[in-house]
Amino acid sequence: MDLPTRTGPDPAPVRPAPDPGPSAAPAVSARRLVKTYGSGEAAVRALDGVDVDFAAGAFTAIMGPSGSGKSTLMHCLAGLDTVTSGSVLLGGTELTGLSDKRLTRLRRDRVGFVFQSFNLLPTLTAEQNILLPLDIAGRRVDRARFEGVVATVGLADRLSHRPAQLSGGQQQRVAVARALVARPEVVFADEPTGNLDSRSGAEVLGFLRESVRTLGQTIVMVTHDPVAASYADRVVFLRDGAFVDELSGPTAESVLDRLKRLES
Amino acid sequence: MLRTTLAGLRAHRLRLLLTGLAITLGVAFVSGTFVLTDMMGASVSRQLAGSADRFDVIVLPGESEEGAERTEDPAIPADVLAEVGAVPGVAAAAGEIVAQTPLLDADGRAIGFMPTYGVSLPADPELLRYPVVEGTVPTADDEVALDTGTAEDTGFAVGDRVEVLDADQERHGFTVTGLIDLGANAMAAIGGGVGFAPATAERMAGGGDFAEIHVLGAGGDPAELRDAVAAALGGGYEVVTGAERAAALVEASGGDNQVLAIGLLLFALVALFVAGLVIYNTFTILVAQRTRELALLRCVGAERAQVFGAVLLEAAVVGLLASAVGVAAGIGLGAGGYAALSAVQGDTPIAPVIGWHTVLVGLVAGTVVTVVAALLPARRATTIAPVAALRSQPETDEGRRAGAVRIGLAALFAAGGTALTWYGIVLGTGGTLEPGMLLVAAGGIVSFLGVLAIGPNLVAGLVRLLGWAPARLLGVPTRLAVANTRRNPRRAATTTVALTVGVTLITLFAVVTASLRASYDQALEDRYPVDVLAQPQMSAEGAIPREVAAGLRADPAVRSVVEVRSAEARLDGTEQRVAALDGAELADIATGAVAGDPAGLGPGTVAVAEDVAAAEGLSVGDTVALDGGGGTGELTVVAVLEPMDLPVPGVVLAGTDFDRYFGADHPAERLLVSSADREDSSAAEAAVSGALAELPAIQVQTVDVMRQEMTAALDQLLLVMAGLVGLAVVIALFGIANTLTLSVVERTRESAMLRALGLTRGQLRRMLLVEAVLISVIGALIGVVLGVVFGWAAVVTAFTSTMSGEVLTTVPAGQIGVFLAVAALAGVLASVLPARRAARDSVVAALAGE
Ligand SMILES: Nc1ncnc2c1ncn2[C@@H]1O[C@H](COP(=O)(O)OP(=O)(O)O)[C@@H](O)[C@H]1O
Ligand SMILES: [Mg+2]
Repeated sequence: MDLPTRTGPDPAPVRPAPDPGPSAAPAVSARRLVKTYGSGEAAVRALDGVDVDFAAGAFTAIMGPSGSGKSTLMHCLAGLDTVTSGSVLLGGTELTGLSDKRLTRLRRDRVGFVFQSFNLLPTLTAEQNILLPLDIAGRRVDRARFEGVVATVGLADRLSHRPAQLSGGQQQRVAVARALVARPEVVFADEPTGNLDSRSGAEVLGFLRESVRTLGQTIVMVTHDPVAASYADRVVFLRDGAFVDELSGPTAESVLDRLKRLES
Repeated sequence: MLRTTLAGLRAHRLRLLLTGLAITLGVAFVSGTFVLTDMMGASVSRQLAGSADRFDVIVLPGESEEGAERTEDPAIPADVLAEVGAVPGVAAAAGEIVAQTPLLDADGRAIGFMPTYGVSLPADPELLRYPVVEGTVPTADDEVALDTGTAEDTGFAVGDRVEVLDADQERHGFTVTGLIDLGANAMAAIGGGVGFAPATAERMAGGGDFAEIHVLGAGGDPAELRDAVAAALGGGYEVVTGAERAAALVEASGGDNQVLAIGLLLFALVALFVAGLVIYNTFTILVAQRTRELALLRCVGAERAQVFGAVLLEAAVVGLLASAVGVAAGIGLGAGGYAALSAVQGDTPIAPVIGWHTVLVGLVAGTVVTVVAALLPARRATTIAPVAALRSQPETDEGRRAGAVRIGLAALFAAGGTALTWYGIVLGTGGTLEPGMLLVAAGGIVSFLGVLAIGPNLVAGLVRLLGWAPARLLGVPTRLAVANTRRNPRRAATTTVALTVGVTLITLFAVVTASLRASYDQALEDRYPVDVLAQPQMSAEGAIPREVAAGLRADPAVRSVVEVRSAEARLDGTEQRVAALDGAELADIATGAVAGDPAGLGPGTVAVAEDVAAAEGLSVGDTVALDGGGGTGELTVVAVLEPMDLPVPGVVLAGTDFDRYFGADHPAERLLVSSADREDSSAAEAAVSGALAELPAIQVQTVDVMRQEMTAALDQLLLVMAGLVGLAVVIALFGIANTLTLSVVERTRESAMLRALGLTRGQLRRMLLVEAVLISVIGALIGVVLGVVFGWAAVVTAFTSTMSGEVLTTVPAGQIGVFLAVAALAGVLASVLPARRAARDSVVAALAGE
């Protein structure tokens, strides 16, 4: 079965084109962000007053030791989770205090995701998976954009395959294409290469990098791999739920170096 | 390994509960049936025994001799009572008179399907064998007691004036003094009853012969008294002690109950079968979901046999626990059901009867069904490779095509089912009813197995077909739901087919009742235009003087009157009942002729029914010798008739011949009247009632009322059947809810991902709702098709040869529409809990997985 390209009423929300320069207003920013899990004795302060900005049109990596709050931060920034206190601004929208329904809309229309695994619906073909966010939103498919993205990630001949028929790397490339095709303001990626061999990982990171360069896409990526982080324009470091450091124009060596210093 | 299994069970109490519920319901049905029928049996036994063992000795008419034709009910002459009373050791004795004494309704016409029986009630409470429920026993000449059931049916109450006909059809007025439960009297239990003081009963019965004599001793040994009474009476009577009589009555009464129990157990079996399907599906899903867990066990060294054993052990524990709960629930259900029934009927409540079979059969049936249902999943569990512990992206088995085995099996079942059904139809239409019906039933079961075998393909195809338009028109949730339903065709098929079972049966019953109704209506229309029937009650004899018909023929409200006059005669030496009609009348009411022309019936000729012709070897043109009471003669056969709907004997003479043999004033036993106004027969009915004012034993019915009564009876039958099948449907719904819940658990990460991508909670719920509705509607659709086909087969098999006139197989589209709508609604209900579960998870927690 093939899903139709689209039906129903549209119009795509009108949004300002992503600003290419890192000097412009940040795409996402967090202020005094606190997130605690549980309560009383067992309370865990996963985020402990994070202040950080993510520039539009830039590829930013979030790094830090395991348990430092990277995923939690990403979930809060992307409207997947509620915060305990502080504020998150996504393209000028204050996320704290939004209802589940508004958050869902926001994710649907303005955010793209790439997860570490289980990114795809096993019942849908690669093409259907890629178009799923547009489908959910009831938005018309921009065929040129779709073909451009598909060509970029090299999936043109795999579109009718089901996830089970694709390799792990191919599955992640489908996930990347899905995140990009709807032109979201921000793509959030949580360890997108965590389950891949280094060659497939390099491919996926290359596409992310490429989309920032050619499409002006804003990407926020959580990773603990210095090599992955080296594809970013900038790396921010977390420790114990707080922003501790950052690095521009990172290389694998400089990231590793900084991490070692953080952990000592 | 045992410890691992038990720990697993403890950890998944909810899963256990859901799985067990299906079995619990099925077992509750089984145990409830036992408790209900046991209690009904106990109540009847108690009543019967109570009516006999209060006496020391009972005298019954002698057994009619072997081979001798019984012309009358045997009775004990009235003077025997005095002989019994004179036997030393007899303290008191009373004879029971039982005679047909029809109770009349407020309009002065005999009431009920059969005439009520009059029973004598001795004034001495020691000798009264029936319980007085309300009021007092009649003692005066103008007093009567009514059986509780009769009072219920007629609406008469203590203090009312009623009229009762005596044996000579004379009316007598009475005041109702009490309500008495005459259920222990075999005759009154069927036809209803009224009770009189002994002297009144003798007068009403037109004689003092007794059906039984009840004896109380002066305190000696009943067996000795029995022998003394027997010796005093000489032979010719059956003399027994009260205890012996009680035992015999109780033994004889078991039959009805057993039929009821078997009927209910058949439905319970269906429910258990559906429960088995649900269990099978649940374990299959559980095994699939625990692939990693089981693979891990294999990695660390568990053998195949141990994995197999672990799954079966889990099934056995679940089955046993669920069955135990089911037995307890069944006991409550059966006892509650009995209490409700006895409250309606005004019986005295009794304590629950819990036989060993109630508990044992319930436990064993439930556990065995569960374990057997888990066998295949358990076997599948053993085939899990240890490496499966390491897989990531969940797999679907959508890609699997029907194996050649499965298709072959389905084809085999289909061919076998068709052949059996076809042969059954051939036998049934040919008149060999019971084997025919059994073959059709077997054909139905075999065909159903075929559907079960091809289920995955069938359901996948139907999902594709039915889901096509909604998926295109109703947006993403629907599209995802359709894709989800197709992801595990086997799972969807088993879930679906469980519902199919119940819907098939309900549809089948609906087709049978609708066809009966349509055929009956058609028969009434086709027939000689009879609008009003005047006839005696069942098992009573009527004698309508010829003046009545003559008078009615002159009435402007009446178009025509056919008098059915009949008498016993010898036809070529064999006893036959012969009737008188003229040729035109016969041509009108005859359904048709196998040979010859009914209209040609005239003096010197005779028309015979097909069965009589076959038995006597007669055909058109043959001559037969007729020996009537008033003369003998030779008659020529002019026609062989098809069986008729109307109660007309199988040998028909012309009226003038009949007069010659049996007398011109020989009365009619019934009148078939047609109304001048074809639309409204009330004037004709009034005319007939008026003409029969002096004949209260003759009942007057319009065909319209008969039709309404038939329709009401069929509707009630369908309702009862639907109620009995209902439990299987409920179990199937639990199956749908269960499958969905397990699927939701399995798809937690997927749902979270969809939510992350912007699917709202409402859309997620809608997705599950559509899945459930799709499954239930497809299950119902398959059931409707099977039900219509086998309903048709059953109707053709059972009624072609037994029903005169044409059998109209009718598909009640309205009712079937209701079934489908109910199935869809049930699907909505089944999705509520799983949908809530799916929407409840927070996206982040669900993404974290495991
Ligand atoms: N749902 C949760 N409940 C309780 N504690 C949590 C939960 N999620 C994360 N945490 C805790 O919050 C801290 C940060 O977690 P996370 O953001 O996942 O770290 P990272 O992604 O950097 O490894 C950890 O100490 C973790 O144990
Ligand atoms: Mg993490």
